[in-house]
Amino acid sequence: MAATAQAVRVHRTGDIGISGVLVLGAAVAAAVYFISAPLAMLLFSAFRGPEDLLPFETGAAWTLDNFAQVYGDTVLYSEIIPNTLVFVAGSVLVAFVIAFTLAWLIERTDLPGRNVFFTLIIFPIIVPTVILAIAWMFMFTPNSGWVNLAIRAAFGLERTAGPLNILSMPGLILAQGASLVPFMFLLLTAALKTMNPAFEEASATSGASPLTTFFKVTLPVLRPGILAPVILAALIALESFELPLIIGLPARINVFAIQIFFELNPDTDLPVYGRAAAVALPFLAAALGLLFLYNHLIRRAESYVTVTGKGYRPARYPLGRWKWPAIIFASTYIGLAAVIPAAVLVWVSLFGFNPPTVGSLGKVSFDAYSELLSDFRFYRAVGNTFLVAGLSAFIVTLVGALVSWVVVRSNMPGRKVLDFISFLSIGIPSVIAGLAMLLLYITLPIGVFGTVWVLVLAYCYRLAVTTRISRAGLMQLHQELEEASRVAGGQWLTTIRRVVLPLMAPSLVASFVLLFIIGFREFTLALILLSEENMVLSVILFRFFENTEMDKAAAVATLIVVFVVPVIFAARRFALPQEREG
Amino acid sequence: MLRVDRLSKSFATPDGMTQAVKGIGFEVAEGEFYTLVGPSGCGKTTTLRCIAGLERPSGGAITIADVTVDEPDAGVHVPSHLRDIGMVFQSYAIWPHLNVFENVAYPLRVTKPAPVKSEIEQRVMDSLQLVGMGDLARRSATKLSGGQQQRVALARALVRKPKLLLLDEPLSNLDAKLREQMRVELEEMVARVGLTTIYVTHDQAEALSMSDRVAVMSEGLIAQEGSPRDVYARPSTQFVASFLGVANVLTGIVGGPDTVVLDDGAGRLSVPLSNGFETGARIRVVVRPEDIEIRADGADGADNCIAGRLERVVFEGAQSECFIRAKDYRIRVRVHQATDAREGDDIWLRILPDRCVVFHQDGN
Repeated sequence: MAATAQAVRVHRTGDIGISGVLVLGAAVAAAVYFISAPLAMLLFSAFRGPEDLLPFETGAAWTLDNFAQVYGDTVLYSEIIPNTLVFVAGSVLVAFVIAFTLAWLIERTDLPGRNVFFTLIIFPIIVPTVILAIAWMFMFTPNSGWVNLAIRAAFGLERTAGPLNILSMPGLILAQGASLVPFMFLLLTAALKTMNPAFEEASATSGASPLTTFFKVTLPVLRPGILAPVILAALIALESFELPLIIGLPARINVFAIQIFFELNPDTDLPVYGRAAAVALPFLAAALGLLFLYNHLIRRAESYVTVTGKGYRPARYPLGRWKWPAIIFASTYIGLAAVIPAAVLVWVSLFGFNPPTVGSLGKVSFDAYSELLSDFRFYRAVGNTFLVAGLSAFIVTLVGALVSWVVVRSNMPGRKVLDFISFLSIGIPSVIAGLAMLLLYITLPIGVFGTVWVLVLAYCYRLAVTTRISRAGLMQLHQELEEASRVAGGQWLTTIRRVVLPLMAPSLVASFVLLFIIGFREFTLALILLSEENMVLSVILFRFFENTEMDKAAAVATLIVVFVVPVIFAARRFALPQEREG
Repeated sequence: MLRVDRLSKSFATPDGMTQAVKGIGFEVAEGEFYTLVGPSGCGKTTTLRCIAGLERPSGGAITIADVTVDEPDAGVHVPSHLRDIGMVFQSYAIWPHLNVFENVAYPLRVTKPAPVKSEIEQRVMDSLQLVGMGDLARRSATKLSGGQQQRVALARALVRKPKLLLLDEPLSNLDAKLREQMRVELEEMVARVGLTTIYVTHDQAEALSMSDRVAVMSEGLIAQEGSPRDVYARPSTQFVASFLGVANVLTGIVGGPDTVVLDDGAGRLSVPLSNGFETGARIRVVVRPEDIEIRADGADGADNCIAGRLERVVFEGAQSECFIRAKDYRIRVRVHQATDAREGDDIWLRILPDRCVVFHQDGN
């Protein structure tokens, strides 16, 4: 029978069809490639030598020399590991204390102006960290930092440096801590939001005071929801690169991210790829350890606190006489982390890096901007930034959505492994990812190294962002919505195109926006894979700063901030629908 | 039109393999309304999903309009989208990103080659008119009530004029009143297009009122198949009898030709017995509440009467449910007018002999 013959032919590719197999195959291959290829390269390179050759250049061979050199070096144990531990623990602690206080004030008290505070706190989240680092350097360097100059003038101090010194471990920790706050604040407000107020009300009606309730009920119930962001913040601090580079390097505070960068960009010798890879491996293991801890906690948090029922309105504590201390606390943080840095950058871009005086107001100069706007490298950096952030966000969103479909809906063998690989990408520190990409594309003879395309490929490793989001989106879609399309005659690709992707649109847009912001802020990957041709905004800003062209660095930063402000106000309308009435 | 042959389907579960469908077979003729009815977990939905191509059978064969669409042993499996079917899902699965018109037009748009625009327009509107939704074609799918979604889902299933219409518990998400109304309308709409229809439900009232034929399923097998009247009046097992309606079960032994002696001296009944029942065999007599009369007077052993006391009367408007204690039995009787009998009265029950169904002790 002819129909049976057709049926047998169809059977080989199953219900998905040839087009489906091709599309899914390409997505799965891309996902596996984006993450495992660089990691495999990193692993192999750690065992390749000698050091003056590329890992897979002719003449290179398998060796344990890299490990012997790296782990025989006492600096690793006396300096790098302790520094890294102190730096990570300190900055996470600082970030947590500030972020939790702010989150609690805004989510659970009657603090006036909560909406404005919320917006200003999360504002730095979409600005490249390099900008903050540079602004803080302008403010707090010991001899010429403006805050130091102001304090010395105000108190008549007869010294040429201090009293504040950002070029120290405490300075670095405070800076890193402050830069982690917006992100942690967002996660903690979410945790506070999902907490059922009935837990606290039950404690109050049992006779507990608000303070007792806070320590005996609120904190314990929130513990898993609090610990998860803390672990994630530790992961981010571990991979943090901008602040250690800009603040830590001149202060001679060596943490592991800087050590890797230093092996790649030594003062005198050639880059030592094998040694960099050998340094990277244990830190990669530590980061992955944190990731699994995080995953474990997140699962517990989900089983622990759930809000059911609608019309839930959190009970707000009246601040009473604590109102003004609370306002001052929040304003101080916002002032130091967002408002003053922005003002300093605008000032420097217009008046140069001289301490502001009333007299200097007359010497306003737009030279930095006109130089910038007549420099084709600036336009190229703008173009590169949008191309790389946009294209990689698009690719990753699409690949991630298809991978999620495979994981959630199909019974493909190995789909659990696929899920695991995509999840791994959260735990890969960007400096290690950058190193791995460098090793991979310097070796692969496909001619992308040094071009803007190497950045697109490198940025694509952040697959977990989108697989998490689109998986949640997909799981909310009733499977019958897909089946209805299949029985209506839609083949697999038609169903995906006309039903699944349109219905997932909100998740896909969220994923794209998030990835675009991450790509827009990206500094580490872009700096490690840097060439004259593929410079992006965050890197060009750093190059101006390095060459002490402070006014131009500030002008780039100002332009970025000016571009970002309308975005955050637009985003706020989506992020805060329930806060507007409150 | 549809032939299902020795169909079986196993699933892997954490406790090992579970066989949801254990080798069932049936045939549905052109234009017939065929219902699979049974409690949850009996395999009815799995069977329907196999017919739709949404699940792959583990064994057996499915043939739609002389085309074998599934035969695992021969490596045959036709994907859903190549089967000429229409399906209404339990959740309706109305796509929220498309309006009513586009939801219904979808099957035509994804067909290759797609009909021309004017024809799509015509067929979609015809289909919407049929289900009484012609005026709401441009409405957003998210602004439909449950009943309207149900109609749109049906219009979408019918628009291709498929060979086979599959309905998976389409009424179960509606509230009680709407469900009864839609039951009648659905049957009329389906009858109007004259499609071969497979209907899956757990509701015996739907099964009995809508179908040309029903198959009562239990634990992956078809317990009984036949016309609704047949299956209701002559259930082949005690399971079928009690699943399709309230059934009083009286136990006893065969006392002689066409005679049943009830346990505990509750009385004797004369019931037509087939050859399979020998004197002295333990049996069960199943009789429905509407097949028993309540009388004020009677005599033991005469005229199929047994004595009892009226324990409780539940007034339900058009009818009343009476609960009568007769020795160890509690017997339900449905009466259509208000009776004079009151709770506590001693009364007689007359059991209509030809309405009784007799099973062996094991229920078969």
